[in-house]
Amino acid sequence: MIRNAFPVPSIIFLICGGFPHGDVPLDHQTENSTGLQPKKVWIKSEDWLAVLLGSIVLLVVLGASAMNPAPDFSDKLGAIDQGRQHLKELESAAATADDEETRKQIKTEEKQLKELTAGLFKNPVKSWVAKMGSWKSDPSDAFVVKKVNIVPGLFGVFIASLVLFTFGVALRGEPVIPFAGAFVVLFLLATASYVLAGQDVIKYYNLEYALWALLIGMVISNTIGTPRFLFPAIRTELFIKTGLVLLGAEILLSRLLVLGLPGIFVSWVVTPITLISTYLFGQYVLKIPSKSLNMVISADMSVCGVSAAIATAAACRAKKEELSLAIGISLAFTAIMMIVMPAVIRYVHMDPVLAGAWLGGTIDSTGAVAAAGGMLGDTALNVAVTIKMIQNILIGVVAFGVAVYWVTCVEGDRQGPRPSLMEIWYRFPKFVFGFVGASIVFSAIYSSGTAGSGLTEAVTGVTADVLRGWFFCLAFVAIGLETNFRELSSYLRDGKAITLYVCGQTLNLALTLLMAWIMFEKVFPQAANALKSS
Amino acid sequence: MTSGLRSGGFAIDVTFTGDSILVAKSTAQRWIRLAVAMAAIAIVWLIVLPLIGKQPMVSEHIATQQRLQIDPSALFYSELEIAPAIARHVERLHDSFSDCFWSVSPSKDRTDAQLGTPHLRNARQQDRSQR
Repeated sequence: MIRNAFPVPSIIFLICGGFPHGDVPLDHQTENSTGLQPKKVWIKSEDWLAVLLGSIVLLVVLGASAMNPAPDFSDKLGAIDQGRQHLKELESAAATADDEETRKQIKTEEKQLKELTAGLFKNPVKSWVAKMGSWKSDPSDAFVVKKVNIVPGLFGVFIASLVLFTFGVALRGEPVIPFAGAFVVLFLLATASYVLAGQDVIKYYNLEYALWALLIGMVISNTIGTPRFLFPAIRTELFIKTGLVLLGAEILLSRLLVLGLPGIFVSWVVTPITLISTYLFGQYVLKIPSKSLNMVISADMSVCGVSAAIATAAACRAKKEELSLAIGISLAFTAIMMIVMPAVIRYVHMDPVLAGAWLGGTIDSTGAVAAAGGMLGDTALNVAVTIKMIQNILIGVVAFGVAVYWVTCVEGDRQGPRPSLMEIWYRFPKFVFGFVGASIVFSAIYSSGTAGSGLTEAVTGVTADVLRGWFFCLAFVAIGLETNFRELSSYLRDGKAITLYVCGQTLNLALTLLMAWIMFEKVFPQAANALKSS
Repeated sequence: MTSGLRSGGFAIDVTFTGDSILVAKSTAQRWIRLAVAMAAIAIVWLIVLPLIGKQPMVSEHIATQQRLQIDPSALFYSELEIAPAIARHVERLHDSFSDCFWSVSPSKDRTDAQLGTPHLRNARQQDRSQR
């Protein structure tokens, strides 16, 4: 299984090489046909470059983890199988007799299983990279996590990112030294953004780092102006698309079925209906001038907030200001919904399974869903996080669907003939292949058995928590450095963006509640009972 | 005539009037604006937010999230520390009671035997909420 996983990024690479023209603009193709720059031109496209860089990261982390199985690997595998069996027995016992002692045993067994699975593979890269911590009143606390100084880990992230993106810039045939110099400053600004995001009040009210990265960039660009020496490192699309390829590895398709039919109906039926209805409402009722802004707001509101906004914006080539605006609106409403919805649910004494499904299907951000579910108890938390998890998986399908819709129906001349397949291929944002490909490969590894799930967790533990977050943070600092307050405020002036969000979210709240009620109260009440049973 | 000038490594676009004082004034104004913005950020993050964090309602909210190991700033489920445990727990429930999740009318006798009667389950749920 482990060996089979290795060739995948190479295959992606070969596929890239198999289409030498890639998504190169037409002028480049003319140049290519004259023989000025034979082959290699595809790599100048940021899409293919992101696929390559993302694949390199995944390959390195996968390889490093796969080559470091625990010394007692077989014993651990056996212990995990036994533990799972024991846990099943305990849960069956807890379902028929509500025994506090059994519940304690379940918690202990779950903790042991978690540690055993996490210890199947040692990821050597993990000790070299770090994520920022949180702080109450002293920002220097953000550099100490669980009593460990994370500055060496931050330096590791910096070196890894610098080497990776400098390699990318070199492949494009651009000067490396100016990029590297500017990247140092960009990384320091990203670190400052993470420090701002780590303040406890900010963090626990879901005001994510994206917002503060934008703020820091915009403060600079709108006061002294973006220094010219920083321009070589402002590679927003490259950072975002490479981050999205890493995000693909975290989308495990097997989790789609974890709540059976009720989960699929609440997450995968309501969400596309809401997305399409909101988009059409924006087009035909509100008449929002920018289709891409309409799409990004519709997607981040109906799917999963910031991550969906990033993926959709890249798929429909939205403007940077549009992405910033969509994220700002989403985070503001998420912070409100995270507090108000649990209060409303408590007030009306809603069933915990129904409440969890409603929270999971409506609150944009995954972290905020968990926070709101946690306020209502274990059952609501479990259902809310699971529904959101299933909805998170939709992000790949949405990005792919939006990319196809955009190149076939939105871009180009609507009066003219339908674009040919070759035309569609040229226009298609190729990073989507890396995004979806990584998801398919890692889903296959995860589903291959206990060892596969341990390996996937070892890989995503580094790419998800650390590298992908840093890449997105760099991208948002870069967006801020390119954003003008006046341009951004022009989108808010007519109020259509906020109206779209409010109307879409109202529909989302109503439809999700209706679907969750039908599924968990009327059609599958036994599923709700099973979820309440332990 | 418009000219792109460089001053201390920073790009400044000014209308060239021949009066260099205008350039210096513009540069100074920009740096003052940056200093004001940074001071505002420092005041909010170092004074206002820590004060807000000390309010009972806010500190209770933070303490609850920390106790439950929930990171509300997680962008994706894979960033949530509790997500794998929840996924495994729900997967086990799904495996044990798969009929309940896939069949519209599962064998009622079987599920009642496995899960307890609806009355017992509701009582148990209420008891747990109170605890």
